[in-house]
Parts: sequence; structure tokens; C-alpha cells
Amino acid sequence: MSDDIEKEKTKAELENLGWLVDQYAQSRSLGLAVPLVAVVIIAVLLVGSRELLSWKTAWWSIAIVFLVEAWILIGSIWLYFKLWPKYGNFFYKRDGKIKLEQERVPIWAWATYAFTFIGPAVLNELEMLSVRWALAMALASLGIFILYLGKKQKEIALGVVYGLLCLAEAVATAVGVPAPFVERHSYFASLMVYIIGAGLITMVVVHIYNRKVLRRIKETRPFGEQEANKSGT
Amino acid sequence: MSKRQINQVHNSINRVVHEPVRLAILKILISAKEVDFNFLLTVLGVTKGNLATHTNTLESAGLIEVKKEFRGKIPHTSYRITKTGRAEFQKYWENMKALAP
Repeated sequence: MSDDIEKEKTKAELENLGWLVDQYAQSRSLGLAVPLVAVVIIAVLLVGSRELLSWKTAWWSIAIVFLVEAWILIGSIWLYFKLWPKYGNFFYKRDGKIKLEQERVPIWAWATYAFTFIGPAVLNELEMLSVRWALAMALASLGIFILYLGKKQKEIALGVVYGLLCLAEAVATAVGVPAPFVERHSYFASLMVYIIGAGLITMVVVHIYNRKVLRRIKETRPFGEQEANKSGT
Repeated sequence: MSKRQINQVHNSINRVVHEPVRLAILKILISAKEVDFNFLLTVLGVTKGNLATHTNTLESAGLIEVKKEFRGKIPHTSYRITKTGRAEFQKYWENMKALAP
């Protein structure tokens, strides 16, 4: 009888360990620092080039703005494919690495996201959509895509926190909460501030959660040092 | 379940799997694509030597795959569960369920 209870206990402990490991592996956030730094650089370049344009409207300043914006578009794609796989989990080296089975994000999802994220900016530039609605639409698109990406790429915690924050920002903008820098730099600076802000909050929240899960794993190690050392091969 | 059936189930239990640390290693590997040595050390809290011995046993039984490589000058070892490992783990749980009253 006690043997059965022991077996059930072992099973429950193993199930718990499996669940905790899954939570731990799906709550890594420090890799987000890489794209966030990239967004900061993009924001500085965008605002800088627009400042240049407002200061001097000459053919060379227009050319510089065009080159900067083209570089941002190409650079962002390059950054995602080159840097993210390499440094995505860089900061967790000390605790070891775990790779989960990730699902491929279909091209149509990327295309829909790109269209709904960049579309409002274009409509805003053409003065067909107000800054408020363009911002709300882009943030909603980003929020939904991050939620989807989190599920597919097994980054559930990050996806949920970042995605919901973006959606909350979108709702706030839509109901009329004034966006930061909205008057001076219009659409882009506000969007960047929201993306960076949500990213930083996400990094902190998910990192705290990850450490909490790791602590629970260490506390509930079903087969700690003594037990493991006793057992032979 | 008759005594004979219980004995049959007992005999069919895989002794390589029926060990707490190895069972935990398989449980971790079953939900992941690839796990490295340091991660298993962090999660299980066993010594390096102990973990190496257990993973060697699992590898010899064909339950896991070991990938050893150098990243710069640092050796890096990672593990994956094999199809046999997955099947043996499932079979083990079924046997345990059968033995439960």
C-alpha cells in the first residue's frame, strides 16, 4: 500500500516537474533586449532624420531620410533572421539552455502583420487616417501578432504580457488618451515609445516570473542531491 | 489483476527507466526539442559526475541522443530523446498505471 502511495507521489512530482520546466522554458524574456535596443536605434534614426527634414528641405536631406527609412526596413528583417536566433536566449547561459519544439509562423501571418502594421503609417503619411487611429491600429496589429507569435514560438509568457500591453495601449489611444510626443513627431515617435515601454515592462515582468519558476523547480526537485547520489546506474 | 499478471507487468518494467533521476531526465527531454547539460544540472540538482553517468546509461540503452560540440573552445553537450526513449517512457507509465490498485 505504501509502495502505491510512493508511486503516486513520484508520478505527481514528475508531472509537477514537467509543468514547471515547461513554464520556465516558455518564460524567457531577456533575449527581448536585443530587438528593443534595435527599436531604440530605429527611433533615434527616424526622429533624427525627420528633424533634419524639418530643419532643411533640400534634395540631399530628402535622400538621407529615404536612405535611413529604407535601411530601417531592410535592417529590421536582417536583424530578426541574424541576431535573434543567435542571441535570443543569450542572457540565460548560466542556467543552461532548453529548446522547445517551435511551430513555423506561416508567410500569410507575417504578410498580414506587415500590412496591418505598416498600412496605418502609410495612410497617416497620406493624411487619410488620423494619428490617433493609425497608432491604435498599428498597436492592435502588433499586439495580436505578438500573442500569435508567442503561442507558435513557445514564448507564452512574453507573448501574453507584451501582446496584452500593446492591446491595452491600442485601446487607450482609441478612446482618446493622448500619446507621448504625438504633436511634435506625429506617428512614429509615439509608436516607438509605446513599443519600447511595453517591451521594458514585459522584460521585467517575465524575467521575475522566470526566476520564480526556477526557484520553485529548485525547491521541489524531486530527486535532489542525496537521493541522486545514492542511486547507482 | 492476478498474481501472475502482476509478475508479468513487473518483469516488463524497463529497469533503465525505473530510476528516479533517469525518469526525471526523460520527463524533461520528452517536452523539449533539445536540452543542454547545464540545464539538466540546474533543474535536477545532481552532481556533474552523477548526471553524466545517468545520461551515459540512457544513451547506451538508446533512449536518448547525445550531441557533443565545441562552441569556441568550450565543449557543449546537449541531449534529445529518441523515438525508442519516448515509447519506453510511455510504456513505463502504462505499466505503473496497471500496477496501481
